[in-house]
Amino acid sequence: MTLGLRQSEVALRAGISGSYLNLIEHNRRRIGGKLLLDLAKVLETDSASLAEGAASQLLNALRDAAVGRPATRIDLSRTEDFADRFTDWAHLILAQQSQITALQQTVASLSNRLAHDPFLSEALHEVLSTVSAIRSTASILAEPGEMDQNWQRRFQTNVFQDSIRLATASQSLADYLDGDADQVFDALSPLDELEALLLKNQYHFTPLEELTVWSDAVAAEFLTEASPGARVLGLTYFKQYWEDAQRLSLPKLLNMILDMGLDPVKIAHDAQVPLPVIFRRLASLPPQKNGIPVGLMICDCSGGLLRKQPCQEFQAPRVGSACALWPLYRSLTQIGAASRQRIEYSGRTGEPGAGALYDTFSIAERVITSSFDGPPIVRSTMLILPAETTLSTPPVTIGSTCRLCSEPACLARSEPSIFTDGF
Amino acid sequence: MRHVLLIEDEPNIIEALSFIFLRDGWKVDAHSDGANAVATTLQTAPTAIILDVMLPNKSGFEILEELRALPEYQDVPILMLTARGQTKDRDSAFARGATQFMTKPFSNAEVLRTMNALVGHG
Repeated sequence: MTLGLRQSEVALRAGISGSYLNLIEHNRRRIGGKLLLDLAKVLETDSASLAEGAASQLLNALRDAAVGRPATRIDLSRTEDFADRFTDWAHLILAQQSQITALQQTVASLSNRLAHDPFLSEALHEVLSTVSAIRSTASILAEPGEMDQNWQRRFQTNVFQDSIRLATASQSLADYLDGDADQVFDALSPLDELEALLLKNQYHFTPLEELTVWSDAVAAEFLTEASPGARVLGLTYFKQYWEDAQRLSLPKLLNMILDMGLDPVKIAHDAQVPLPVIFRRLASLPPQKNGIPVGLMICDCSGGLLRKQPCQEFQAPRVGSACALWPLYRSLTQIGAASRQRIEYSGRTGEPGAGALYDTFSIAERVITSSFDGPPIVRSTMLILPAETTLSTPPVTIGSTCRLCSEPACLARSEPSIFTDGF
Repeated sequence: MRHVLLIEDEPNIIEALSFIFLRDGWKVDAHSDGANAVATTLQTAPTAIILDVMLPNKSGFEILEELRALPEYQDVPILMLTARGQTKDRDSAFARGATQFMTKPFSNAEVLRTMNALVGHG
């Protein structure tokens, strides 16, 4: 209560019981008419803001619940009427809506892993198979009566071996679920492995910034624990990183950002360096506390993602195809044409990052080949920055991937959403 | 003569199941790879089969289909074992002709009881 009044005093002055006021305070009774005016007078506030504060949370939740179920065809104009007449039921919907939102977030995370993640599927199968072997063997050993000693020894050895195997499989699974990518390098593709390595280093490699003459040995230092496939990819990546740094050094880039802000087009123009190089350089700035987060996605002609550097909640799907509406893909249709697109990250109410605005800068380029006869090799690069300024053009709503996007009327949808259509 | 063929890639499961079936008076053969499972079945001619779903080189579902396509294996009892107990896997097994379906981890006693029932023993 404001004004230093106790609840009982407010109730007394407004002419209602303390318990009824308690119900109103906790949004379990809606108020209006004379009572609203009386309470507003006692609390020395205006009746409109008092009514709005009490009801807005409930009404918003009811509307969210209705919008989330378009097939049910609920008349939204009667939301307030419903909340007035069936306040307890409305609160039940509010509680359930909160619970559904929380569960959907959990499902999104698990589904992304379970449905699309070969490592997790294999790891779970390994655990279950080993548990089966242990259970089957242990139940024989636990049987009453004498057993041939040779069999007994064999089974004891088997249980011991399986217990070690189970411990290893469980540890690997736990590490994976904890997000420790180092422990599961063997189970990932080389591309995933490299991405995990870049993430671990926050996409910045100081020794390469300071290297004046290219050296495989310096790059190899970052790849000592990498698989052979990831090592090949890594050396290519680090060579390009170094070449980019030679074209636009870090001190020069930082000065340009100080002068003209984080504007890739201005920087490219001023430095006389192609946009894809600028995108990559901005995505490899040294990590700073409270620095501007920068995301970078790169794909080839097939749409396969070669880089998946997230920007805040804007992330690429772990496995499978990304949202077809990403400007990254549109650039593939106009090679060499730079485009800037404000996007709104699609998401369900309450999901982290839902409705967040980003500015994307995309361009596709032909990768130079030594042959006149071969098909063109094209790569598209998209820089992602949090939107900071206001644009007059409306943003395009996009998601991560169809399975985890609930955008109801998306013409580009290729798969049903687990949120609206289930599994 | 009750004769079971274990088509399973976990050697310690094969060993444990072999033990309980041998002790119960069954003849036991085992095969651990999906690729030659049908050939081994034809060679050993079991009266009942325990077939794992996840096998190297060929899935248990494929092997089941191939066996059921053979006239002499249309009625041989086949118990499918799998670590995936989802309804769709169970439906898929029965649609392809499995006689029974069991999920891992299983109980030895239940496997033995089921197999004896399938061959009409006891």
